[in-house]
Amino acid sequence: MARATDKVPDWLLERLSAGELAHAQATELRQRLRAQGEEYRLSALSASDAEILSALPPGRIVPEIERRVLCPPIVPDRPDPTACGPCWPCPRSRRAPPAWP
Amino acid sequence: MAVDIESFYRSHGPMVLRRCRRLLRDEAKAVDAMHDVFVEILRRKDSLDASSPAGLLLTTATHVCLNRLRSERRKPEDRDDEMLFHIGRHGKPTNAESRTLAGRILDRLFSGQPESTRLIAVLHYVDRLTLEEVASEVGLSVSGIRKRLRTLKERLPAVTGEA
Repeated sequence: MARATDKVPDWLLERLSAGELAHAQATELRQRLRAQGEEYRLSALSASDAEILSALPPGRIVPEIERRVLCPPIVPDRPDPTACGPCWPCPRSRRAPPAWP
Repeated sequence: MAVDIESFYRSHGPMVLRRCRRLLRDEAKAVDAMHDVFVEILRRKDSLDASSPAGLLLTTATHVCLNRLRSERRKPEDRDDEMLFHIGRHGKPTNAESRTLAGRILDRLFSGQPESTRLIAVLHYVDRLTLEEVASEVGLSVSGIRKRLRTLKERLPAVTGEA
């Protein structure tokens, strides 16, 4: 059982911030944060969100995620010579390769 | 589970990156792992429960990062792996040799154990969740969590002797 003095783990802070915890647990965590003067950690998450999205905007991240989804996963210990992980443009990609100038 | 990847990344990407940063302690590797977390989600979207996406993403990020740390340890140039060292020994490694030894111990410690046991160990020993909190996160009973951790502790002396 967590004590009021126990630091709220980052894992639970994230889930609290996402609004995914049961009401009783969320209330208990907020009380712990208040008791420890750490309510700022919740607002710090929002600031961190904005900072990360500014540095790594969806327009830069999402295309790479979509590219990787189209490529089969590579098993590190037994690499498949036909896998298209690191190569680009991926031959199995539905996307056309870029037209180089 | 329907996934609009762009809005999903906007709402949860930063959280995933923070989790990867915490476990990998390397910005470039964390960003790379974050991509793979969303790839995992997209690949398994038809079988996923959408009721708690943050929990799902945090769990997936933990698995992705632990797998990366494990595969890196198998390479000759063993990296600084303080986080996993904590799982097994509750202490700070003093040099590269002790870290390599800790890596070997952990590989043997977790070999043959359910994948979820690694997550349980990380949540309890690294993230400092209580047994009750871990039980709630992974959907097991407190006694189940206690049993898994006890099994790990019981294996530790034998594994340490072999390493």
